[in-house]
Amino acid sequence: MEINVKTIRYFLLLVLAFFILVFFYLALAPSGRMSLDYDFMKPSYEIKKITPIDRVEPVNGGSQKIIGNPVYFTLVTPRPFDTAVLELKFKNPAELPIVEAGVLADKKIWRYHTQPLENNLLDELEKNWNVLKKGELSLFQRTKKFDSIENFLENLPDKDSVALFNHNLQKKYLLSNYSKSDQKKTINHSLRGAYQFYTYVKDEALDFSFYLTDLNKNKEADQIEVKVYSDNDIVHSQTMNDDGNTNDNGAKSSQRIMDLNIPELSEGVYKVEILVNDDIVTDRIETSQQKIAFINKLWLSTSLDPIVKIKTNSQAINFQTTNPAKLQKVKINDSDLVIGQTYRQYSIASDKSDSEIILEKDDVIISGDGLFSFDEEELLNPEFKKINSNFHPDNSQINFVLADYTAPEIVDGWKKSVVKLDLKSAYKEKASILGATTKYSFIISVPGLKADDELKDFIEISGIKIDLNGTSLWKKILKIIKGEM
Amino acid sequence: MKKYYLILREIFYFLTCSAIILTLLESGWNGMVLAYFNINWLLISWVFVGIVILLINPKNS
Repeated sequence: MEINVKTIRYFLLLVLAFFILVFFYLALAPSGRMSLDYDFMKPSYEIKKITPIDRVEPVNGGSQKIIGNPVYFTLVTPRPFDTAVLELKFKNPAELPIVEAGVLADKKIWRYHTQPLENNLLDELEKNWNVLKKGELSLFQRTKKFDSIENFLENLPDKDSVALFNHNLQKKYLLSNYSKSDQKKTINHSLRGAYQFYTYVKDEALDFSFYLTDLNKNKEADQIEVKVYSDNDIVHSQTMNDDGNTNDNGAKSSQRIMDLNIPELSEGVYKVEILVNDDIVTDRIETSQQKIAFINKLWLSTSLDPIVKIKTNSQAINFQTTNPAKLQKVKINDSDLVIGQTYRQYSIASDKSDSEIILEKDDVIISGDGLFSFDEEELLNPEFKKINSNFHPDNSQINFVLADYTAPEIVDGWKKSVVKLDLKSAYKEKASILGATTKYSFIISVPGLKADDELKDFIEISGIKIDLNGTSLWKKILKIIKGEM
Repeated sequence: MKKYYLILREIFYFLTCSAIILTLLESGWNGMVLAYFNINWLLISWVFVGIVILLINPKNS
């Protein structure tokens, strides 16, 4: 039989063309939907391994144990998407209070948008407190006072008796005894990296001068961005470019001043966010404002004072230093906490609503679940209390908890939780030259889970499923035709 | 034998083209191919078919 070489050649070319079309179809995901699964049996191309390795045990029989907090995994998609519905199958044998998952929103300050997978504190509260539910919102009452969530929202009780979980509640916070001052305040403690603080404005301009230095220890351009928020809405933003030295030669820049002056703001609390990387040090802050309360974290770089006193309303306070010369004993109220190792986080719980921290040395990262001020007079607390892993209903004055939370389902002995994450506002990296491959960074957070403690607690995960949703190819074409893109 | 040689030669050309095109696609659009197909299998097949072609090449006999 004679072989027709050309027929074979054309057939094989057709096969190749078919496969290329299939690959393009899969990469473009024309429907705008994609479903990805990692079952811990075989590696997934899209859902990468959970890291860092010292916070996880090796994958074993279709599951993996998380022994330290937090852990991360990367999601690689052939194109960007708008939302991700993340389903996690896990076990929490130690009943650790809170398990959350989220996506990286801001790489500069490593901010993740997280959603709860499990909250054992609320699950326990549900058994003992009165509960009202509406949709995904639940109101827990120590003793029943409100008969509906609407009634509660219309007649909000005293701020100190309400705690929130995964929900924001706006209540105008006004200080009746606040008066402006013509005298400028100076914070002479230098702060490294990003930070955010609350301040208060009444019949005055919001006025700050930040004295900034670039350490030039990393290769990135160190742009400085300042954002001012009122009730989570940005009211002002400004930027300052890098000092011109994008090398990592450690040549400290000369001091530059960034003035923030916004006149004619209405009375109230404003949040100011300084978005910088750890190369930028704020040597000094000058302001006309009387209130400055730093939110959650403060990296005290250097201080002119021999002893630094900080006031906080945090009930869980953490300390860490990266500098071997700054190991020290920290005083928190009447207790001492020894920071004996670099890069290790030391924590202390305080049952007081206001605590005083006394530091012997500077260059310490202080973090907590509340606010920090260098002067008691500067402290203000516009926030509702948040339910975190340190919440104990019996030792708390909280009588109402408003939560956007659904307890996990139990399927074949595993807990199954689903959270919806916004990828539009998430930090993404383009991971290909010509295509649209996109990388997202996810976090699984279990506050209180430590790899280096004596406890044998862990979270075991047996499946990660991610359903992605985005613009369909047809809608995108339509948008291009209409000139919307 | 010539018949098999001709068929295998076409398959070899096909595998060569596929390997080049799929590698280029993967380089330009990461994950487009490797997320679904391991190109290593293509290269192993390409080497295997190449060796067989050399062995059964009628010109060699």
